[in-house]
Amino acid sequence: MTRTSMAILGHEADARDAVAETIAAVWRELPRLRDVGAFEAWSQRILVHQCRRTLRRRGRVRVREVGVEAAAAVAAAPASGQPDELARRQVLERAFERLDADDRALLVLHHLDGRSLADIAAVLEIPVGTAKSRLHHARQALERALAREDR
Amino acid sequence: MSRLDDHELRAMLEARAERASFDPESMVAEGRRRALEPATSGTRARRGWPVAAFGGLAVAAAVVVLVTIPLGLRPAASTMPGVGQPTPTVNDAAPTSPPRLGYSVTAAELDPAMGDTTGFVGLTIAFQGALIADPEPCPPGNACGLVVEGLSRPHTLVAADGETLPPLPASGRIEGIFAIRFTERIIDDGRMVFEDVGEIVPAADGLTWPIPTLATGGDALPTGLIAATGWLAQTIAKPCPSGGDDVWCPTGHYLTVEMPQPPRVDGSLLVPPAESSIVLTPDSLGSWGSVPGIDPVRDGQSQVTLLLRRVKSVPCPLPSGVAGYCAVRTSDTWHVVSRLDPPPYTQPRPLTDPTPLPTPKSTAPLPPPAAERQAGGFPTTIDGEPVFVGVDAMGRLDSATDDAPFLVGGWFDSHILQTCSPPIGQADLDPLEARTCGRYFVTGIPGRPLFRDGFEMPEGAGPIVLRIHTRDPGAAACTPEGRAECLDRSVVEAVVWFGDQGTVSFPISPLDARWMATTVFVTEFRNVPGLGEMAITEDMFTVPVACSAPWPAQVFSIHGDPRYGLVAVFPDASARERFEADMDPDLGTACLDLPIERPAPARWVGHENMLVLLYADDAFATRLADVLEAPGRPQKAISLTEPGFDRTLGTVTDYLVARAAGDVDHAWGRIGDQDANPYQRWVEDILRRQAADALVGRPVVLDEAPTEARVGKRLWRLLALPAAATTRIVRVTYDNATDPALATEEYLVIHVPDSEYRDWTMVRIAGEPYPG
Repeated sequence: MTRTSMAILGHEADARDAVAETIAAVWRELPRLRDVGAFEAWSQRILVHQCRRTLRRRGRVRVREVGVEAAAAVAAAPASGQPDELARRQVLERAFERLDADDRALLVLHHLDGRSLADIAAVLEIPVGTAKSRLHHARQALERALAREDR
Repeated sequence: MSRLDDHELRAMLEARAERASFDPESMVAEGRRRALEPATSGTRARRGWPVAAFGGLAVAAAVVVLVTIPLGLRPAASTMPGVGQPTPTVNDAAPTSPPRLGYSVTAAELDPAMGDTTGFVGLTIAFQGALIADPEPCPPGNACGLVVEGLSRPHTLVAADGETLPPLPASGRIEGIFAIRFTERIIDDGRMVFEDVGEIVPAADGLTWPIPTLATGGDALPTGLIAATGWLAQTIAKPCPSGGDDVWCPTGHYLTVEMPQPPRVDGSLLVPPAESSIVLTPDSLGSWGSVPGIDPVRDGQSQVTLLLRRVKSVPCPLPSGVAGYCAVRTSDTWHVVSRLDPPPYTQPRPLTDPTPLPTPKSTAPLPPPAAERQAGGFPTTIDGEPVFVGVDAMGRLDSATDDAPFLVGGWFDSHILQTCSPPIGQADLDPLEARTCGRYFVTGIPGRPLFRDGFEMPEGAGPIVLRIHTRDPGAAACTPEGRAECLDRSVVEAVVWFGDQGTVSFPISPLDARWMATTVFVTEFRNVPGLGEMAITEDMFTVPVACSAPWPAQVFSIHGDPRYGLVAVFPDASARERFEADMDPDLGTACLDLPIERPAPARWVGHENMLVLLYADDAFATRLADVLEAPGRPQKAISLTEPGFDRTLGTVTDYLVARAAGDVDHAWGRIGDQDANPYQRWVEDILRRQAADALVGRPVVLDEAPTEARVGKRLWRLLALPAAATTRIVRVTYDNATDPALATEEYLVIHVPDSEYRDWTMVRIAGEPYPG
């Protein structure tokens, strides 16, 4: 849960907040969960929803933060080869930051958590076909964002 | 950069995910704290309007009992165990039956309720009937072979840890009263697993034994499991008049006949009288007391039925050479085997073991005259010193120039502690700087109060007054960059007041009442293109209000949904019933005195010692009554107010009330300048308005259509109102404002039916710019 929220949101405070809100929501809403077997997908859905809300809230403030670790990593990186890789990763991350919450969530669920389309469909409560097309669109959105970063 | 590569994408996400590591325990604690946190906290009225609460400034906290949310321990499914289930009333002044505990159920009563067994998990009930042989094979690793006769739900009975099942006699059945615990385990063939905790030895006239009999019975008492109903209490060691190191102020766990006395002014508790209490083994309260939120009615010191086993003697008098007197003259210590819960979804049988309820008595300090009490029950002064609450406390803290102490009021619950630990590697720093979260959960006091090492708070829940100071000299030891923050820290010096006879409330504490009143599941699920199904809710919160007698000292207006008016918390259920019978609900509206449109006539919904004023239809009122009776039961969502219902004034009024209470969590509007820190600016705005007497205003809906020219081009573009949106302009006039610049404000109220966030929102369009 913490990894997923960190990957979607990218900011520790936001991720903490989203996870805490998720746990609170799980705690409150658990009595309404009829199908115990659906707990994992259900809680993940709440987390994605909380991340979405957090991003929406953050959109109003528009504070640009620079990851201390990333900056430190760049500073500490040896001269040969690695800076390029780090720079590429940062560009990719900036592109990722341009995506909306749903696109981010889809990519994180699939590429980081390794969830299948069926799993993603269960988490987001959408048909598998829709999950597939949304993942495709998210991927395209990231590529477009990447192209903008490259300019 | 080349085309997106899966490996790179994953590596980037991995790096992103690993950038922070969270302590799972503290995250769970924080999540649970948020789940249980009441909407806000309190303080005092200014010119008839509610004030107080620092929901936004309230410290983060976590419940002392860390719960990992296992499915088997679902929250709040226990139908308020421990206090019986008097039927809530809806505009019904008829007295409710007294709360009852310690009753047993038969298979015929239990069976119909077993359709939904989730609420039973973790509970231990007293079953009266017969156990018979289990025809099905025993699950591996268990001692079993019995089932409950007459229960149609497939199940098997296993022995609890360390116990054995009773042998089956030749008759093939064992009759008696058995303590049965419902576990979350289900065998592969679908059978539920119950634990047989043991056979209960009933008293001569019912299931439970009178505590005085246990206190004096000695060897005449049975050696088996017995049940007793009383008040589970723990005395505290500090603060204590005598320092807490002798028998005058021991830490002990008791089951008492009478409701434990509220803490005295110094925070200490009286030791229960020997003849009306029994000594329990250490940590009984922690193990068997209530968990706020799971069974919210049971405050820490609350009435319970316990399954007890006599374990050893502790002779009195005290050993030679030990000064003092024997606090509880019992020769027994009782080991708590389990808590005996009323089974959910069943009603107590009226003729089964009517455990007499003690009449709560109080030796708490006398309350101040009504005129000297603030909203929320706080005294205006203590020994001549003013008590600052809400926005007044915010102002007092802000204006502090030295470390002179002063009094602030807030809300405390001894069962909610913070569990965050000091940052790793910074343990040697000054606590002013290093300790970002204190040990105790106190809301309504701005900032994060620092409780120094060794400081002990009293047991209980309710309004509390603390002596604090800021500008602590220890700030000199802070790092240069942290010094300003250290100077602002509130350091707690002492507990000065922790309720009086006017604020005693039983069995539901004010904090729980505020939470329970707003637990109706008001939500609409909407499919939003691109986002999927979104849950649209209301932004609910409560603030204390000052209502004159015969209203109780603790009344809280409820905001965010116009169907809610207020919740009043009485000393006990009978006081609530008398008030409800005598008071026309319309007079509640007069107490509130808020220009909020209401969708229905006023009505009461009463439960125990809390009374909720509603402006809602039968369905909503009935739902609330059901929720109060069993807060954890699954409920279907109730829709928001009708889209056609005009909430223009209510939207602005809710905002103004929150702001006047210093509650910036609920006093946020959208401000046009998105580059600023709105939180800080709102706080500064509140303080300057407080200073200029421009917090409580008079909102009026203007008879003009908002246009881009009127609202301003930039803001109009930012709002990007959908076609379905309707807007109105509300002008707020502050008649007593001493600063003409703050005398008026204008807000644009926006209604978007079927919105994807909130249907009613607002934005400030005119007035003195925010500070900063």
